[in-house]
Amino acid sequence: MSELDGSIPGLAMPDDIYSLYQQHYSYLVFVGLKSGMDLAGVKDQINQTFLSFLEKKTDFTKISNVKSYILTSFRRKLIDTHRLEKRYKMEPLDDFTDAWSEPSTEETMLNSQTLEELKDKLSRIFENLPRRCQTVIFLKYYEGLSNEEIAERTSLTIRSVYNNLFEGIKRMREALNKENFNPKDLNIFLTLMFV
Amino acid sequence: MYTLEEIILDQTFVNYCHKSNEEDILRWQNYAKASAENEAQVAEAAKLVIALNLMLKSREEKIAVQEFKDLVRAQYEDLKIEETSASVKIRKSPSLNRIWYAAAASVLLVMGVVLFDQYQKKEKAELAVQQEQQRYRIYKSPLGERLTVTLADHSKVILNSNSVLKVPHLYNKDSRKLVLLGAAYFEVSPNASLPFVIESSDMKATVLGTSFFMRAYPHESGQQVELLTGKLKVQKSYSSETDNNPEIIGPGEMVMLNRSVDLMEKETFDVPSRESWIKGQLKFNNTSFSSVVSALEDWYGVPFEIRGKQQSAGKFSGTYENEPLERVLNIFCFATDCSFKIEKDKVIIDFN
Repeated sequence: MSELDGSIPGLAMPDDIYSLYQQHYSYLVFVGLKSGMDLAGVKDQINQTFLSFLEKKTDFTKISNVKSYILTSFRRKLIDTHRLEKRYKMEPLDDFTDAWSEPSTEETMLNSQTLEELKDKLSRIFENLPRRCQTVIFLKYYEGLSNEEIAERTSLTIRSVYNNLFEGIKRMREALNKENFNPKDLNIFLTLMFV
Repeated sequence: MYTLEEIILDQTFVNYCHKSNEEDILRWQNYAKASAENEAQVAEAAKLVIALNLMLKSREEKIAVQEFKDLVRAQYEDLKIEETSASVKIRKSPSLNRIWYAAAASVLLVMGVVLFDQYQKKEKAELAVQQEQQRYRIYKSPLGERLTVTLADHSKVILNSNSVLKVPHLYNKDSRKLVLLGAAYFEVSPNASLPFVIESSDMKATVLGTSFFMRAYPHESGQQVELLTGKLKVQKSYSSETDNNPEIIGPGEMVMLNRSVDLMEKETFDVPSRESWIKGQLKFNNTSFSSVVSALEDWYGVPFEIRGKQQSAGKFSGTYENEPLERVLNIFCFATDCSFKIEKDKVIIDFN
């Protein structure tokens, strides 16, 4: 990206905007999906929001609450789209809470360090899964689609969606077990669960 | 008693992990209460589901930020290319300089004039870049994906894959004029005092407030405009020796233009299939391999090159909604047992 830095006319601190983008992406996706748009549409709107920050040379150092500024700009984009397309579910603004999505109880219960380690391991294992397993796992555990919806999306049968999910999960667990399964991890975890 | 895989794959369990359904939460709490073994199982499975979700989230964040970087770069790429070609021109002059160094004073004078001329050209090129930059905001969609753009007057544009839309900064101030290289669908907000004009290399369409689709890829010889609602005037944007009369078309009508034979014709088009294009629904129903390829060429505005021979004569069925080309090809190549590569200006399908 170094070739980009500074050389783009009218770009204020591109690195900055990219890290803001990465930080806020998941939450904006969550808000966008809630409004009934599909993932591709939500992505478009997020990109348009951040492009307009670049265009307007928004100086984030001068903004006191960056999080809510970004959220407000994004909502405004969504509302504009709603108004124009009228084909998405209209959700009143009040339905979006300003608060970040609270981590679920499980998440707080879990030892965040072991969770972080597990996440890194899974990420390495995931890259080595067959493409079709990756696709169905993404749709189920990221987008939260049901097996029926995944079948529609991928034009696979429901049976083979299940088989691919099963294969992917099984391979992940095998790889995890092979990769130094440490019984201590589970013990710490179990103790936490019993507290 | 379930296996761990069964638990992880169970939708109600995923709901329990995300605390999104009261009934499911209760169900798995009860299951865990039944025995210590169950409890350990639920804990282990929940850990995996949550770690999996976190992993996918951060993976998706990284991919998205990379895509966004590419998008930003694409927007400014046009300007950069022009800048480099301008600086190449200047670099040539010192080498010319060396050859001419020993020449007579009269030649030096000539050189001076030449250099001055070069200098002026450079100035002009830089000025043109600056002017272009000042005049237009450039939207460029990546190959294989669409870009939705909302203009200052709330007109909506769906820019098809592999297309460029130039929007003047003064758009909606004194006029509404755009330039298109590629294909796009426009939903124009009505404004009788400011006609909306879209111009491609060969054709120019004028509307007041309508919705229409225009296709004008530089790599294709024919260009076309299809009207869905309202009224539209279309004419050649170049000066023809034979006929420069505009055509007025109504809903369901289209105009095709081929500059190489200087022919402009009014026809009708299949409205439902254009409507599903707008929705982003790409449908195959028992379609042959070659028809799928030409449909994808059409849909994503990019030529395909086929290497090797397709072995099976299978037919394809399936519906894709707003999927990037890469995902469609993933599934398609999975089914036909081939590999693919998306290059800068074409897609290669390889059966070898």
